[in-house]
Amino acid sequence: MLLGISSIRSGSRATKGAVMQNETNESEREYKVTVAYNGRPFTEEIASTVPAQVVFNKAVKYFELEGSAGNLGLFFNGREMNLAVSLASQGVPSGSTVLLQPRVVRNGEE
Amino acid sequence: MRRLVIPDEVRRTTEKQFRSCGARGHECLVVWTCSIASPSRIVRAVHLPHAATAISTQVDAATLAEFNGDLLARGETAVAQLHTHPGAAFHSSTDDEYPLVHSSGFLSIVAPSFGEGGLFGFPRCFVAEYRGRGHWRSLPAEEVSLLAQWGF
Repeated sequence: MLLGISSIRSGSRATKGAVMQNETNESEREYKVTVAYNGRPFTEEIASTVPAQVVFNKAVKYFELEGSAGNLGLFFNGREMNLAVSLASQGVPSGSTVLLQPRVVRNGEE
Repeated sequence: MRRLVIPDEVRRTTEKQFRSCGARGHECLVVWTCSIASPSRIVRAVHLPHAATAISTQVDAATLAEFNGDLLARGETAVAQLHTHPGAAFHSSTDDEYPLVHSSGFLSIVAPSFGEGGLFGFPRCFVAEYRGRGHWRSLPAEEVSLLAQWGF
């Protein structure tokens, strides 16, 4: 009987662990971000841990900017995001809009 | 071929900004926007705050972020950027490399003599269309003359 109880308890812990794992996965999947480029939005649902580079690449493809993205970055609250780490880790809450835009616009005769 | 509808107010606002910067001996940059739902009709001429010299303009990331946020909120999109030169109009390598928008079809219009000749009919202006992947196409004069429907 004791073994049985122990088994149940173990099973209970295992079940809780599975629930927690599911919650983590669900939480990661539920991270939603909208990327806006030149007034047009593109919304993507990803894991919260995915590097911003993945979001950047998807947006560049969506907006057909391949080959033109050298001067572009992702910006949130006026700050350029580090593409090597996730948006969530840089303080961008799920449901936010980030801007895909040039770092600078220049005109000149040189 | 695409044709832009350019209201008088947009043209006058742009010319006024060109004259204002030109009076200080500076180049100027103005952006024309359309409603996303009606991409041929220009609705606003936006004079982006910019640094400028007699031969250059520059807009920083913070200004661009404010502008792009505003576009999203208004449901507008930028379809052309216009800047002035002190002398003849042409597209420099800097103009090629650092535009506001990198979408195919985006227009860059350069007005000569700080825009003192006005914009109606794009007199002596240089017009280029972005073709993607860093490539621009210069519009021939006959195409420039048909580019805009002016007034009203």
